[in-house]
This record gives sequence, structure tokens and C-alpha cells, in this order.
Amino acid sequence: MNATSLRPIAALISFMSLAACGSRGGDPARQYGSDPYLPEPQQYLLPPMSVPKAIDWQAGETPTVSAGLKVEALATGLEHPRTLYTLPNGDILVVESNSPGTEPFRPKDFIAGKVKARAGAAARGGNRITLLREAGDGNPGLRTVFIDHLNSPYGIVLVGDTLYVANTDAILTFPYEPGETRINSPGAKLADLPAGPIDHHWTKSMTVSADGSELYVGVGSNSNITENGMAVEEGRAAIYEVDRLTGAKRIFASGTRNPTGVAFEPQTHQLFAVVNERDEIGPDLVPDYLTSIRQGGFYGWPYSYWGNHVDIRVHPQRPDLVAQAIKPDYGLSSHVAPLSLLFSEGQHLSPTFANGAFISEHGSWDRSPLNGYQVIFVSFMDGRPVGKPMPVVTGFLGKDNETVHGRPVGLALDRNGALLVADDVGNTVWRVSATQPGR
Amino acid sequence: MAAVSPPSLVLEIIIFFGVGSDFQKQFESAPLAPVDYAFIAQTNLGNHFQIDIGKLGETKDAQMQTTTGQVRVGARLLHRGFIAAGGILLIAAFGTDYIYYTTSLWQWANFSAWLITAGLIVIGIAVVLLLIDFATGRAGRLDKGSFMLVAAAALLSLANAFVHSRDAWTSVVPQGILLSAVSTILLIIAGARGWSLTLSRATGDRP
Repeated sequence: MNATSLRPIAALISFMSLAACGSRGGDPARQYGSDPYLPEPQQYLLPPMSVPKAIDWQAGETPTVSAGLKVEALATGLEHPRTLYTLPNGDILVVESNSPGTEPFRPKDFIAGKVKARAGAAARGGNRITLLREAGDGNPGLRTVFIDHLNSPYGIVLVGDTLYVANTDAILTFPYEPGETRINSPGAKLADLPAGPIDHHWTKSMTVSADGSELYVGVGSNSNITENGMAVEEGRAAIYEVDRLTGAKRIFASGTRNPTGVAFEPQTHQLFAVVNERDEIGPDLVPDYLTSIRQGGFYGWPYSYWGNHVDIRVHPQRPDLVAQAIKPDYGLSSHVAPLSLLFSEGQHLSPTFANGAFISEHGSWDRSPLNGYQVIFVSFMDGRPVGKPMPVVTGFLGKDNETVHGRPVGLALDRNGALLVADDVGNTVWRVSATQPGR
Repeated sequence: MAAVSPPSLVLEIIIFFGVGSDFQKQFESAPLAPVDYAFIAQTNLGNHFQIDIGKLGETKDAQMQTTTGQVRVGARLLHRGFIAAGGILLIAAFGTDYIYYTTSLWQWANFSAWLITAGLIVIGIAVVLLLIDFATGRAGRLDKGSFMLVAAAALLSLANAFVHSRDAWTSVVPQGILLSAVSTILLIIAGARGWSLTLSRATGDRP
């Protein structure tokens, strides 16, 4: 075998190794706000994966908070805490949950699963809700299992004396009495939710309208971009409106790829959602977003992104739907994975956070450099997001950006207005409060 | 055991000796010329023939006792069947790619991804067996043409495995199905050349 005959093979190998490098993401700040920078989409040869290695918080280590704030661990040793919810008496509910688990369909799924497990994403969820009662006022504090044996729960909301829990496959109702620390009732089913087969995006975020009549539930797509076929996307990538009393449901808005957080803006009572956009067309595509949700609105997935930018991976295409696609209100930059949306209720932490929303960014797995891994605050004016996001809680990543101690998920305000942050890698609930109380 | 002596077979044995083997060493150390040896018996053992060689001029019984060696003519090349199996899996991926192209039904694209992965694994096994074929003297010289065809198809298919790891339509169209089509053409030619990457030790021909 001489050198000449090997030349085409050598050329092919060097082409592949070049293509494997991929490109690096630019400054995320270019993609904040209503008019994000959108580069041309890429088609990768090697799937982009960049995942920091999960390493436990060491004793005394905490995330970093912005000036005027302090942070402490409220509870540790939880099982993959995701959603937080504060009951009227100040008790804090921690939903401990993870994906119900999906079978790998392709050789890629095996490899992707192993890589994501590095960052702690494969940890078993508790499938339960833990109740935390903060110590203070002569009260020693309390931690109990509040509801057990759930099925990948996520959304939770109390209306009157009924607690609504969104499992991955159904909304359950539980009777609740103030002060209760354990519910033994198995719960009653209010409504089914789209789940298996596959259940790729399994979380069911949930909130309730101001008048308490309707529940709103975010249902994620069953794939990144329809690679599991269109049939399994029936009724997915949508926000449902569910009648709280009858369980009757309808699709309120669609085309929202993975609406992992839903909440009402307190002044205008407008529904907002944070949405995780599609992967694998570039480190700076597609920006995840915060948007108001219009009834009957279509937000593009899978056919297009950020309005009418067509995604060529979807076949057959639907120009009629692309023409209707609504541009989201506010870009959060690409692959940050916003998971929780919490409107501030007054200036408990700082005057800076008087009007706007906290958003937890679980952090990227397919972008280099990493993006997200923080809790941000987006100011609102006249019921609309404005300005640039401000980092509030950071320092989840190691200094080298190669390791990760925690990833922020659920957000809630406790009875005193402190910001609670669930960390599903550090298995901790962090409490962020003002250094000078009484503000 | 039937004693037959087709001239062509004797010729093959002589060529075999010429190429080199343990048996040849006996020849080199022995004071006898090859012509002193004669074909005694050929036994069909299914996948190869066993040929017994003995000295000339002795009785049949004595010939049996003084058999000096056995040659496996047409002994199976270990790598050949695995190249064929891997090649056929890669060719099948072109079929499933084509069906996905015409139907947009996602499962066909998944079939392609698995077929390409399996084809590459089987060809990987074939490479190990090819080395064993060389090490054990089964294989003659490398057949450069077939080797280049299969090597190019395997490298294109490796690239194609990555293309097929994309999501939805562009995992197949256009680069994926183009790579499967080119690999298929290369592999069909390799198949027509008998799938073997080496020449036969006995004859110097492609088996």
C-alpha cells in the first residue's frame, strides 16, 4: 500500500476531525431581549456535547449571590429536588423528581445518556414531596415526607383547601388542611396529561389563574425536533388550560417546545412562560425565551423558531404554520435551559427586584462555552420584560468551568420574601435573603 | 477416503509449497526434490480439502504410514464472511434511507442508524480476523483493490454514522443518503470481487 493510494482516506479522516471540533458560542449578551442575534443554522457531524462533571458541594461551599444578599443551605441531602412551593403557613414543599426514564431509540441515545449522567442528570428522583418548616420563633424546624409515591411530579399549586400536583401523566388533587405535615390520601385524578410513550420532555409545569378557576400546564415536546415522528407529538409542545373543578382541558397555546415554567404577571394577570428551545443547530441557536402566552397562539415549534426562521430538519414542512408563528417577547440566550419562572412580589430582597421575574437557568449541555447555571432577574415595566437580565445567584460551576456543584431548578419566595432555589445536583435548597433585614 | 489425483490439484499443492509453509521447511531440509512426493489422498471436509502427501514408490499401506504432511487447500479465510456480513448491513442502510426519503417515516431513519452502527462493528471484527488470517498463514497478499473499496466504504459509513446521529430529516437527506449510496456502490463492487481482502494463498487468485 503506497502513500498515494492512502491519500483519500487521510483526507477523509482530517475532514472528520475538523468537523468534530464544531464552533464555539459567542457572547450570550447578544441574544438578550426582544431582538436577539440569530446566526445561520449549522448541521453538525458530531453531536455537540459539553457537560461539566458533577462534584458535590464541599463543606462551607455555597453559590455566589449579588451584592446585598446572603445565601445559606436550608435543606441538604434531598433526592433531586426540582420544584418549590410555599404554603400559606410558610411551610415549604420540595418536589423531588426526575425523568421517568426513556428507552434509547438510537445509538446516539446511549452515548448522550452517558454524557449527561456526568453532570448528575441521571440521578434518581424521589418521586415524592418533602415538607420543610423553617426554624425560628421558638420553632425547631421540621422536615417530613409530605406526599410519597408520585410519578415524576413537577408542577404544584394550592387553591383553597385543595393541592394540585402535576405528575408527568396526570394532575392529581389532594385535600389539604393548614399545618398538615403529611398527606396519606393517594390523591384523585383530575385530568390526564400527555406522557408516554417516550415522554422525552417529562416535566409538567403548572400555575393557576388569579381567580382560581383555571390551571395552566406546560407540556414539553416528545423529541428535540420531531426525530421520534410526528405521531408522538400529538398534544405536546403546548400549554394547556385545565378547568380546576371539572378537569376539562384544552390547548391554550401551542408550538412552545418545552414550556418548563408558567406564571401570571401579578399586575396585568397576563400568562408568561419560559420555554426551552431546540438543540443541535449551533451553539447560538436557538435562544431560550421568556414570553407572554396568547390564547390560541402558535410559537413555532417544530416548523420554525423565533418567528418565521424555518427549521429544515422538519419534514414535511408547514409554511402555513410558519407564517402564523409568534415571535417570543424576550430572549434569554441559547441553551441556558430556563426551568422556573417566579415573579417577585415587592422589594423583599432589594429595591432592584421590586418588579420583574426570577428565572433559574439549569445550564447548557450542548454548548461550548457553557451557558446558564445561574438564577437571573429580568425587570418588567408595564407588564413587559425590559432591559438586560441581572445575575442574582451564580457560582454553581467550578472556577475552571469543567465541574459543576449544583444546577438551579425550582424557585419560590418564602414567607419572609427570601428567594429559595432548589439545586438538583447539589440536592440542596438554598435560601437567598437580604444581608440587611427589614427592607 | 478416496484416492484420486486430478492434475490441477497436484499443481496447486506444488504452488502451495512454493509460497511457503511449515511443510516447505521439511522440503528444504529433506534431501528429496518435490517430485519425490506424491499425492496420496484427498478428503472433503466440507469447508476445505485435506490432502495427504507421501513419498513416491512405496506401497499404499506404507504411504499411509509415511504421510509427511497435510495441506488445507481452500481453507476458509476468516475475515471474508464478516466483510460480507458488514457490507450487506451497510448496503441495507441505503435501502432504509431510501424508504425514509420517500415516506418521512422516522423509524426508517432509526433503522439506518442501527444498520450503519452494526455494519461498522462487524467490519471492525473482520479487520481483527484479517490480521489473524495473515498471522496464521491463511491469507496471501493483500488485494489492494478490494481493500481500498472496503476501507473507503467503511470510512464513509463512519462519517455517515455521525450524519445519522442528527435529528429528523437532515440525518438522512441529503448527506446521509448520499453517503449510503456511495458506500453501497463501493460494497457491491467489493462483493462482486468475492468480499475477500486478500489473495488466496494457494493460487494467488481471489478466492
